[in-house]
Parts: sequence; structure tokens; C-alpha cells
Amino acid sequence: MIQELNRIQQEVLQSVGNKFDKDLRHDKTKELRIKLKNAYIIDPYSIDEYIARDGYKALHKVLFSMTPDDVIEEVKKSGLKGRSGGGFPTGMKWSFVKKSDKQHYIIMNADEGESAATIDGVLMRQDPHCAIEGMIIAGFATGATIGYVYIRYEYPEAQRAMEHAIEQAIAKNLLGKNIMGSGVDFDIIMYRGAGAYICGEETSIISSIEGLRGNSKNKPPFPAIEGLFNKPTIINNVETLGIVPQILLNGGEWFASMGVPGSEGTKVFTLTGQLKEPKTVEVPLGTTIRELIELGGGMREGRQFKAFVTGSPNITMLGPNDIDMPIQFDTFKKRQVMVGSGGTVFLDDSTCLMHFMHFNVDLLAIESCGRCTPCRAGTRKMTQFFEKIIEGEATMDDLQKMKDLAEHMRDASLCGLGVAMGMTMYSALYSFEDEFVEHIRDKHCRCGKCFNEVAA
Amino acid sequence: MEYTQEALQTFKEAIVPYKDRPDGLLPVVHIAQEQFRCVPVAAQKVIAEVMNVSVARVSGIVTFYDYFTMTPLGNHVIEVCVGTSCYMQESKHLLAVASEVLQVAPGETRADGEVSLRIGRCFGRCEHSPNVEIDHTMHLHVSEQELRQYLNNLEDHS
Ligand SMILES: Cc1cc2nc3c(=O)[nH]c(=O)nc-3n(C[C@H](O)[C@H](O)[C@H](O)COP(=O)(O)O)c2cc1C
Ligand code: SF4
Ligand code: FES
Repeated sequence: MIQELNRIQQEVLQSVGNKFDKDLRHDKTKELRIKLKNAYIIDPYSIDEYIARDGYKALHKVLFSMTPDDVIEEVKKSGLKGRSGGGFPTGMKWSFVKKSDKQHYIIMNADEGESAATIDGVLMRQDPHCAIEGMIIAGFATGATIGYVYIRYEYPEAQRAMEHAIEQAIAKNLLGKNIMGSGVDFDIIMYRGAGAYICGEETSIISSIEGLRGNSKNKPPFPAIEGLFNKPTIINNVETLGIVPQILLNGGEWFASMGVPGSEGTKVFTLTGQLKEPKTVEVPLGTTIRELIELGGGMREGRQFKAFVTGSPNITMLGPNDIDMPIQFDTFKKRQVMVGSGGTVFLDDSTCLMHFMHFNVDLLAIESCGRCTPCRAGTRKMTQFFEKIIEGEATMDDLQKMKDLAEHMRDASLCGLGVAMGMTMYSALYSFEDEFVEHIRDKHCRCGKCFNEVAA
Repeated sequence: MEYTQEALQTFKEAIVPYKDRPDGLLPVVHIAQEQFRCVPVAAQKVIAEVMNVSVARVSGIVTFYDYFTMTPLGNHVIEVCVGTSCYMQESKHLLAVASEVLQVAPGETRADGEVSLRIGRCFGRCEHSPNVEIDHTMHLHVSEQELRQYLNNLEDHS
């Protein structure tokens, strides 16, 4: 089989000319394209072009020369942490699955509910095989033989690319029964969501596939022990799985040599908001906010950088004083800021923070699944607080109440959607307490957006 | 709205292959939404019967997810993205413009059943914001003028 892969590789390399020599990095000094190495270069509908870029070689290596434990060790060595935002070590997550004769599952989280993030969308549309190969390897490492790709309905194009890639992989016996003659089976089922932010949360995905409302479930038991249909289940993000083949092909140490200790490797970011050139880039972790701004072409003409926001609607932020802060799991955590899934919003000094917060908190109130009171009622209450601020009716007492409510939501909500409110308020007040106070005590809006209109 | 026995029968045949799948409920609701442009109670009953679950459970799913509707979507579906990146590019204004031109409130279907105006929550094209999807065609970097033009063309042909 490896001969077959090599033959395809040679054939394609001879026929494509210099198509693969393109260098798409936006700024040749800072961008480092590992996960995006094929995006916009290969034809996503051609499995041969993927193979020509060393595709499915990692799978071959894994199936014929490694044990599941070897794979997990290699991923641990790489330092890879989940790219969905929480930053949970991937190798460790995989090792939680106890080998048993029960059916095991793996779920690729392709819900990408963060609005302002197109990382998983770009990967699936432009390089669908990398995530599929990563998923088969993850299945081998954890003993799963069925994989679900839970994809949001808003991504029909990504779904088409993935479905086509799955068909091609099956036709070449790289997926399905007895893969490459190794005796290993793995099947992939595409599963379409139906428009619910909470269905990106891992236990909600499980509810959704089980045909229930997309409410989250209590943990423990963790999905690795008791997940889909009560069977051991590993849930990983598209970007996380997409990098797995290259880690296995080039070794964990290779991946760990990029980025910084504790935040190894690269991360894809969608740079949006008030930048001159919003775009999707891939940089080593440890890159600073200032460097990201430069990659985005700088702030708009005549405007100053105000805030770097990660996530949305579950937002956390950093302010102007943090512009040289490197993007790392540990430094961010200290400031209660999430690295997030890679969706980022840059605000300039023309944006009123109260309006921006109101927009996001209102969205959370819409998306709250309603299962627990701290979040269901808390997100509504928080929206009303921001309305009061914008209309000039909030008091300093309300500000204290908001802080208390955010802390209560952090401590008492059942899932990450409500819990994150604590970090949201903490990070907003850390950098922008003066803007809150100006609005509430002095009835002054430095952007001239408040007090004369109803919240947009 | 009334549904013919025939339409319901066609639907039933389409979903029977899913009847023993433990993961089958969401896919069959999708099939209903596609066939009827909504998931009417009549279809919910068929689903409940075939999948051997209560109508309440089916209805619970239909009402939980934004994508499923109980009243039929219009012949034209316009979806303006108000995800965060598009919001930052003033897409709420585009939504207001669409609402005014089409004479329908955001999230609603016009009484004549011709158009539905939906609120999008990110199409994964954030670097090109603001984005609008019209009858499954994605339009990127949409200006107010372009939007008016697209919508007027729709109305001309309808
Ligand atoms: C409200 C909420 C929404 C989430 N949405 C997503 C999502 O859209 N995509 C995603 O990959 N993870 C999302 N997550 C994180 C998942 O629960 C889970 O941690 C993740 O899929 C694990 O993947 P990783 O270990 O590869 O990072 C969400 C979490 C919460 C609390
Ligand atoms: S925190 Fe919010 S989204 Fe999570 S279970 Fe509670 S109500 Fe649902
Ligand atoms: S926010 Fe509109 S496409 Fe992402």
C-alpha cells in the first residue's frame, strides 16, 4: 500500500508543475503554516493531491509500525493541547479511555459555534483529508471504530467537501473495513447540526446525536468513560485532529519545537473586527497581539487599538496595555482570558465597549439552553444591566451587582456557557473599569454612542 | 396548512430507513424541514410513529433548534449574518435594510409566503464580512447598495 501512495505522489508531482511551490504566508517572517500547509494550494476535491503532499503516510506508519499506546505517547510528547479553546492536553484525553470490548466512539467537533471564527471551516473546505486522517489515527489510538463529524448546518460547502473526501478515502481503502489490509476498521458518519451554539459543547453534541434537545449533561461521568450511547467517547476539535497526522509523521518533538514551552506548536486565528485586512492566519503560539495586528494590516486609518477579544459570544479580552503580551495558555489564564478557538475581534477606539458587551451578552441569553437557572436568568439579567448602562440608568450599585452575578454564574452554572461569564466580566473590568465607571457615574460615553439611543 | 396524504406518505417512505438508527432522529427532522420547508405537526406525528418516540420528544427537538421552523419558509430565503464579525461591519444595518425592502420583520416569513428573512449566526466567512446568503448563494463583502440590488432582482422575478 505504501508503494501505491508513493506512486500516486510521484504521478501528481510530475503533473502539477510548480503549483505546490506557492508561498501563501501573509508575512514571511511571522506566519508558520503547518495546519494550513495545503489550504488554498491543493484541490480539496482531489485525494491524489493530498497524497502527493505526504497525505495518509502517517496513517500507514501508525497502522503498520505503532501500537495505540505508542501513538498516545507521541501525541503527549508533542505537547498538543485542544484547539477548541480550553487547551486540554490531547494525548492525556486519549489516555483516559479504558480499553474494553465496548463500542468506542470518536466525535469530531465541527460545530464552530464561535462567531468570528473560520478556522475549522477553512480546514474542512480546503483540506478535508487532513482532519479525516487525524480522526482515523485518533480512532486507532483510542480503540474507536466509528467516528461522527458533528458539523453545523451553516457549513454546507464544508460538508460537501468532507463527504466527497470520505467517499474518496473509502474508494482507496484508506477508510472503512480492513484499512490498507491492516485489519483495522473505521467508519465516519457525517452528522448535521441545526443551529444551536450550545451544541458545540461536548456533552450537548452527544445529546444532539442521541436525538434529544441539545442540552448539556452533567460531568462526571466524562465522555471518555461514558459518552455517546453510554459508550467511551473522545471529542476533539477539527483543528486538533487536523494536526495529528503531521505530528505522527514528523514526531512529537518536531511539533514541540515550535511555539513556546507549555504552548507548543502553532494556532490558526481568524483576525476580524476593525483591522485593515481581516484574514485567517497561522502563527506559532507565543506570537504577540501586536504581531497579529500587523498581520491584519494594522488598525484602520487614524484609529487606535483598544481591545483584543477572543471568542464570541463567550468573550474575554485584553486592553491597550497588553499589546505586547504573547498568546500563551499560561499567561492568558493568569488574566482569566481564554486563548479560545481562534476567533478574534480587534476593537478600535471608535467602538463603545458597553455596546459590544451588550451585543455578546444578549447573544448568550438567546443561546443559553435554559437547563440551569444561573445561566438562563443570569444572561437575561446581565443583558438588562448593559441596557441600563447604555440608557444612562445604571448606578454604581448595579455595577457591584453585575460583578456578583458574574461570579455566581461562574460558580453555579452547569456548563461552560454560563461559567465563562465570570471570566468575561473579570477581563472586561480588568482593562476597562474606567469606561464602565464613566458610563455609570458620569453618564459619559467616550465614543458618543450611549444615552441618546436605545441599545442597538 | 393542510398536507396531502400523498405528501405524508412520501415523507414516511423517506424516513423509514432511519427507523432503527439510535442517531436517526435529527436526520429525519432535517428531511422534514427540506421536504415541507418546515416541520409541521402532521410530519412530527409521522416521525413519532416511525421512530417509535413520543410526539412531545419530536416537538422538543423542532422547537430547540433555530434551523427548524413550524411554519413554511418562503420561496426565497434571505439570511443576513449578524455574527460578531459581520456585526462589527454594521450588518445590523443591512438586516434593517432587508427588512424594509422586503417588508418583513427579521426572523419572519412574509404573509404571502414569498420571502423569509433569517438572522444568520456566522457562515464561516468572517474575513469577508458583512455576508448575506440569498437562496443558498453566498454573497461576501456586501454593501447596502448591492443588497438593495439583489433584493430588487428577487422581487422582480417573483
Ligand atoms: C458553550 C460552549 C460551546 C462550545 N463550542 C465549541 C465549538 O463550536 N467547537 C469546538 O470544537 N469546541 C467547542 N466547545 C468546546 C467543547 O466542549 C470541547 O471541549 C472540545 O470540542 C474539545 O476539543 P479539543 O480538546 O480538541 O479542544 C464549546 C464549549 C462550550 C462550553
Ligand atoms: S450554563 Fe447555560 S447553556 Fe449551560 S446548561 Fe446551564 S443554561 Fe444550559
Ligand atoms: S460573523 Fe458573519 S460570517 Fe462569521
